[in-house]
Amino acid sequence: MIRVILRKLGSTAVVVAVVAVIVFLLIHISPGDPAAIIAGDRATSADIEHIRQSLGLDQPLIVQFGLWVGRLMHGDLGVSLFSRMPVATLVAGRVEPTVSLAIATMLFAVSTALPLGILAAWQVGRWVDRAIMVLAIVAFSFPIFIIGYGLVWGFALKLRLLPVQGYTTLANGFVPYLQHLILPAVSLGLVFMALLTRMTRSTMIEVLGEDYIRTARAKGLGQLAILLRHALKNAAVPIVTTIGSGIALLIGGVVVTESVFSIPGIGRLTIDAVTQRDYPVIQGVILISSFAYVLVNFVIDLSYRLFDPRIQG
Amino acid sequence: MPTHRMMRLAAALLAVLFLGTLTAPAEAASDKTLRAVVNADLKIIDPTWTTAYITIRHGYLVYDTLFALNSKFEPKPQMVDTYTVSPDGRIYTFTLRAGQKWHDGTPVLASDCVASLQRWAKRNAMGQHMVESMEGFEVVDDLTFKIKLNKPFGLVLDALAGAEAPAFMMPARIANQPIDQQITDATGSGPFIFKKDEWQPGNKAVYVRNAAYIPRKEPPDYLSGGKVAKVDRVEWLYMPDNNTALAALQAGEIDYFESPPLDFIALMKSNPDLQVLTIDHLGVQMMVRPNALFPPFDNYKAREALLYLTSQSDTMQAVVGDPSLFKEYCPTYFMCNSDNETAAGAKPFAKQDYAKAKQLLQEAGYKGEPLVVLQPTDRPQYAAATTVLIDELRKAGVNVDVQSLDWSTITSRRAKKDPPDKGGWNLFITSQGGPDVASPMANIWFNAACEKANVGWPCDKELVGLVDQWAAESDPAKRHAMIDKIQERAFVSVPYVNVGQYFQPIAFRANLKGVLEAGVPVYWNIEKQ
Repeated sequence: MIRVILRKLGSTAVVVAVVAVIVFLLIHISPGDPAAIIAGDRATSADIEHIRQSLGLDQPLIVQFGLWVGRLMHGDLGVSLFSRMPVATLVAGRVEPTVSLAIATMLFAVSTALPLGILAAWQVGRWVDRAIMVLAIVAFSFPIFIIGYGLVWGFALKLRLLPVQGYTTLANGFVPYLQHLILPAVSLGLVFMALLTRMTRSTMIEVLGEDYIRTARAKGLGQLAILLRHALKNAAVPIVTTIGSGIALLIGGVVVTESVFSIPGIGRLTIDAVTQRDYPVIQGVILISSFAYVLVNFVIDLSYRLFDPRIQG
Repeated sequence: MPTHRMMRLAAALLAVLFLGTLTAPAEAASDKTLRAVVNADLKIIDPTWTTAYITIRHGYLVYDTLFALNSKFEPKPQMVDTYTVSPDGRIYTFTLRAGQKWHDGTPVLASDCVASLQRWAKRNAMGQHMVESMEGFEVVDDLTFKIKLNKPFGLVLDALAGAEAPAFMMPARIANQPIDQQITDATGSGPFIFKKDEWQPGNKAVYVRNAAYIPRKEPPDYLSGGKVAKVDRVEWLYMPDNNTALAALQAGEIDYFESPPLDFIALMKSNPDLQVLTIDHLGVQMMVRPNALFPPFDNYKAREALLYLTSQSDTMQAVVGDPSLFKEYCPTYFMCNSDNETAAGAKPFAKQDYAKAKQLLQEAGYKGEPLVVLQPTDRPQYAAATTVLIDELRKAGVNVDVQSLDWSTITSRRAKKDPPDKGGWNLFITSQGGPDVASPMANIWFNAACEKANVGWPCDKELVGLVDQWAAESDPAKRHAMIDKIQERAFVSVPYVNVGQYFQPIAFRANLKGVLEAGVPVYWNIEKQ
């Protein structure tokens, strides 16, 4: 097991290194000049050139890459070209909202999708199954921002039950923390819930047709025990895989959700950095995000062994 | 683990969480906290490092200025108590108000102000012109300093007070930093103190009331007069989505929306909980910038053709829509409603004339080559104006090569002097705030100093000479008389084309009182009731 973990960690490091090189090259060869953006619309060409020189942006690409890698080796992600704040500080300030949103979204999606998927599989072909599938298709079809605006209009502006926007840290109390997460988590989680419901349903239908389920029924086991203890555990591997790949879906959706609900998370930091060409921030965020993504997949890989001991290596 | 034990564990966890909610402090919005959604993200806090409006607005909160403009656009003393001008107009002596302190508690000294002026003049266009006319500064005592000129420059006080890029005062220890190093310490002497520990670029900037600030006794008038902070805390929130900002304003989660999209205005006016106010009666000028380095716009006739083919009303209709928020036609380069408003030289261009435009383009040697027009994809107002321009160019027989790019790419591309077919450009649209445009010297797009001019590099030594003469004149009445000649010349060499003047209102909750019509959003004098 330890050997497996070490091998996976080794491949994780390679993936992150490749991502680092690609990201650096991509953002530096794409058009746009941070010096011109920093200087502002009313700056002269001379002002822009002064700023470019003082930030080292006039250096050859290979020199800039070498400096960045050198700093990275010392655990330094650099400083923002704009605010001059360390990238690590900027990212650290954005982790809690994004992680909170991701966890709330996953909790919402998984806690609704699993019962709905199991119920649909159990009642396959009946009206309950059809109703759940219609719900899943509807949830899957609406863009996140439409759902977001709709929820804000209904729950924040009309019913005045929840806030329109923003994020408040857990340190300010659980209720305000939760209040600020409900609408974003639901709007981001609906798509994922739909995907997971369909996956759970189809996997469960397949498992429920297996011989050992028939044997369990013949032995007189209760329906709940059959569904949860025997069928769901054997259907777990594809469901867990879907949850893992759903995290990639979340990363894309977080950007939109954080903008619609004005949540100061990693997604907004990334978009702002890209539009401003804040190279050190883009590089730092993507490096950290790719590392987190690879790590999540690594954990999911390991979890297969818990659900199915036959999986090795 | 047996199921009943897991359920017990879950129940215990939920109980702990809800117990936490009972004891946790509630997030209450204080009546003394003003929450404002600003038009851009505050990423840079050094007002000499960037010309971004958001940084200048930050400057107005934390810094004070020696002079400030009143509603008649006259510079009035602000940090300065008294001042004298020598009979020959060459020596300005300023005495600061006693008792002023920096946010760190140290006294404001004349030497700090001189250091601040030196830093400001290295980057600011008006400051550079002033320094070119100067012999130097002289610190007389702790509260007194002099500006000594070696040639006439009549705009000393106007330059110090400039609404969109004033000389902000800061301690010498900060101002003396090399100009190529960005200031990261926002210590000023203004009515609010910047809370750097709460600053989160991309999200929030926080300011608290400066209890040690001594406001002037006069009532506030535009940017001059007493700056009395009536709220304890100002929170600037950056919301990238305007729909969210509008909903937050409607729900009372924010108090002030600095730059609502113009198509929201009618909706906001119909809401009794909200108030819409135009604080800037000069507004914004939108302009078409030709590249004077390459054909056909290296020929003044082609630039003149732009004057004939563009329509201010069509452009403003597309950009703004609501006729109450734009001028149907404004004949001046120097903003309608300003002191420098004049119609001199504008008459031939009052009516759109495609035939004349075509003729002038032909005379300029244009033979149907593709002209590169940069169209921003992420600035809706510029994109709308560019769409109108493209249509107008095509109607005048121009072969338009539209290059749709994000604004960041446009700002770097427009700085290139490459030929248009090799990564350069021919035309783009931009805009600038009224107070700067109203002055032929502060308006950087009006500067036709060839290589030293802003991107587009118009070159007209006669126009530059006229502006220099205007700046040297210290008598406002004589200066005013010179404006006509400057504009007449500008309509010959056409550094850019004015395609409309519009007004950007702000919106706020009706319980806010004392919002000032100061041209730029300022946060003193506002109270929550």
